Amino acid sequence: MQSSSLLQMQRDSHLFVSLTRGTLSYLLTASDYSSAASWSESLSIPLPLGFMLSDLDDVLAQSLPVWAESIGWDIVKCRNDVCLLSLCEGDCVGGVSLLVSPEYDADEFRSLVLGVHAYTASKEMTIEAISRYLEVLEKPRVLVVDLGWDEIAVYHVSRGHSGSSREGRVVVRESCVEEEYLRRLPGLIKSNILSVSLRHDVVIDLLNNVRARRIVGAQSPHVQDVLRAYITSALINMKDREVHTFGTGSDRGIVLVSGEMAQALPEPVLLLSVIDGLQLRGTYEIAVDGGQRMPAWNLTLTGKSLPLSPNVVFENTYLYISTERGASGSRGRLAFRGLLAERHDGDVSNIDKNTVVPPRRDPRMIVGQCGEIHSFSVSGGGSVLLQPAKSVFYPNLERRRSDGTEYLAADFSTAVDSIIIDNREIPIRYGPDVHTNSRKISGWVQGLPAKMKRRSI
Amino acid sequence: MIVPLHVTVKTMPNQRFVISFAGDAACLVRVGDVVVPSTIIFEGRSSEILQTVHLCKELGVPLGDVEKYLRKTDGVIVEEGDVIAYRTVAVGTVERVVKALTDGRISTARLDTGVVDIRAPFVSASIPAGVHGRVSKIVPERNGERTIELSVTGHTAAPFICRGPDVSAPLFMLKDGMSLYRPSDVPEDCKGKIVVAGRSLSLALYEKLVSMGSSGVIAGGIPFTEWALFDQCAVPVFITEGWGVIPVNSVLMAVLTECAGDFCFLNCSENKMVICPSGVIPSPEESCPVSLVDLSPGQEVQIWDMPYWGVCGTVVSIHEPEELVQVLFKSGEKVVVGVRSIMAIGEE
Repeated sequence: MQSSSLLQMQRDSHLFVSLTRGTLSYLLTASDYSSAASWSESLSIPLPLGFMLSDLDDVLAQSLPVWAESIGWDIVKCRNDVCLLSLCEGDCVGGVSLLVSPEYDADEFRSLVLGVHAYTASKEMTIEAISRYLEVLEKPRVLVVDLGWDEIAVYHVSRGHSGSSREGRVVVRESCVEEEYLRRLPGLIKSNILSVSLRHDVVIDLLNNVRARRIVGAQSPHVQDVLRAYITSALINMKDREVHTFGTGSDRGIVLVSGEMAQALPEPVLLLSVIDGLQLRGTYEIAVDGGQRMPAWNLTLTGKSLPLSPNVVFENTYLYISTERGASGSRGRLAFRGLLAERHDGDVSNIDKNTVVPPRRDPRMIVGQCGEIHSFSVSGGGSVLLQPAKSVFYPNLERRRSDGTEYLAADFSTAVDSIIIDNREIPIRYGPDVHTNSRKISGWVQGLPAKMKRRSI
Repeated sequence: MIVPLHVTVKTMPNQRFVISFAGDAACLVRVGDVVVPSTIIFEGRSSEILQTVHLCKELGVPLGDVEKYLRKTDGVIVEEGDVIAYRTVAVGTVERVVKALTDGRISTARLDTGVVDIRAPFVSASIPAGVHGRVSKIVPERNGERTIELSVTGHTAAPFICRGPDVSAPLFMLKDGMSLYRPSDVPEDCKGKIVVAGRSLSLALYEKLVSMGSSGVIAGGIPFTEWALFDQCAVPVFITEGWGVIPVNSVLMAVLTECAGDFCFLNCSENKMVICPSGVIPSPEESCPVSLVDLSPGQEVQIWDMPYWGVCGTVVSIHEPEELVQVLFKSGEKVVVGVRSIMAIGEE
């Protein structure tokens, strides 16, 4: 996958190997300065039940050569059944990091294949890295949703302005759904949140299998829907006011979705589960790490390895705009007319920052219906101008006049790939039965941007 | 197109294999002796189990309370209809009575798992090794049971979950071992055997197998909602794949079918099963637990996506751009699945 800008790396390439409970992930990032481009390749492997850290070198020795060959990189040398990572300049991998999650107790563990010691990020180090997201992403607020199989954590990062914290100090608030609750949750999922018809015991078996197998992808609507309902149900009980009011403030933040479950679901289904689970409304950006790259990014942010750009970690970024409670209009009616004024038409990934990008001449006209979600792909940054229908209102958008017409406007940066406009009635209502959900949810999912995720298995 | 490879059956040397003898027996081998399937290792008197009564369930009491409701002591001879255990509930208005269904001798050796056995009179018995191996340990008699540990080369498989005491016995296929079975499908000749009980083990099927005297149960799946009811398994349960209705993976199933009648050791304390064919198998090499394979037609794969959860098949064709794979099931049905939902399976 080619990314839009060069990685800020002093060497040509870096391999991140991360081991979480049940999953081994590879992330290879590389820069080619001659063609001014960067690439990354990633792969996630579900590990068998009963996997132990002592098995890691065997797994690496067998899987790395196969993967390296499949991506066309000569990074492993095998001689007499002994395989070692080959570090060199040029087309070979320039550096390597091994990240192991704390439950493996990897103190002093050294991988013979990779030739490096394992790095285990403590909770404090993870939070330290997360606290740096504000400056790296240049946002006033960041909400990190880490969807792990064993624990779901939500971190709200902002500048301190209340309580004992000094003005300007970064404050990280953590809320989490613990393993014990997640273990009981499959039994608590009700059919009124599902859009597929399954017996309750089948739902329980399916979810427990999915958790035990730690799947890295699902194609069937049954697994996708049950997992969506599971994530929504897990998040909906989070009672953090800062989280629920995240998008309603005047300062536009960004929601970052990551974790093992994030790579198991298609992006539209994942977005719906997080937006509805956390009941996030208003206006904010949302980005998904669909390849378990966040641990590697955290590592680079804490200065333990080479810097890794956010655009490698988050392949797609969206601007989300929703209506307000009591101001969503009548279902089926026109919700808005509007204009998408993009600064540039087309792909800007290979354009140098110093090049003057010509503005797009004609803004695109957009319309939307009450009760639906609409998405519009954009590129090169610009503004979205909305003219809401009567009884429809979008909070925290700027009032702006253009050609004699008043609009509610939001600007978006070059990082934004799509604009999502959510016109559903708030609060969102699921149910009352599977058949109603089947119609509603499939419509909502189809309204969300369906980007192809980065290649991984 | 690369997918993870999961080796579901491994042939490994130096595996612990335990053979027990319940009764008054002399051990005829010494540590270090090489044994073959026909080598007699125990000779003495034994009594077979005629009836097994799960007192916790029959009386409706927790495991720790079973003993105080027992009306017969260990070794007492009972006749059909004799009361074994008795409990009154609801201020004496309701009685729960457990009676002997056959004549025999009470054995409370397994009372710690909530079970009481009625055994037949002692008869002379000689126990052959049943497997190729070397005697590695002879355990002194404990609770009327002699145990010998052998070091064997066998096919090993890891469970999804395993619960219960360690047991070795011959493998028995319930019909073809691949379907969904009911208690009425259990035949009488499963007594003393480890039964391959199909794609899902319900509590009713398990209890039927226990009452028929089975030594252990292997199944592909087990309903999650019923697993808590398998509180203390008097007979070990070895689940190979996951929750619900899932067939045993095709690689392991082929080994189980081939080795039906041969000895198997369900070793829940070490989380594995060891199957010893009656023929000698060559010493294998050590191998790693997982790797990747470049998928090609003919590869055996297991699907982890609905509606084919855990079903095995063979790759027919690969569609690289769409990341889709066509898989042929044993039934002749062909399906197309995403590459992220499949795992190659194999044997080493």
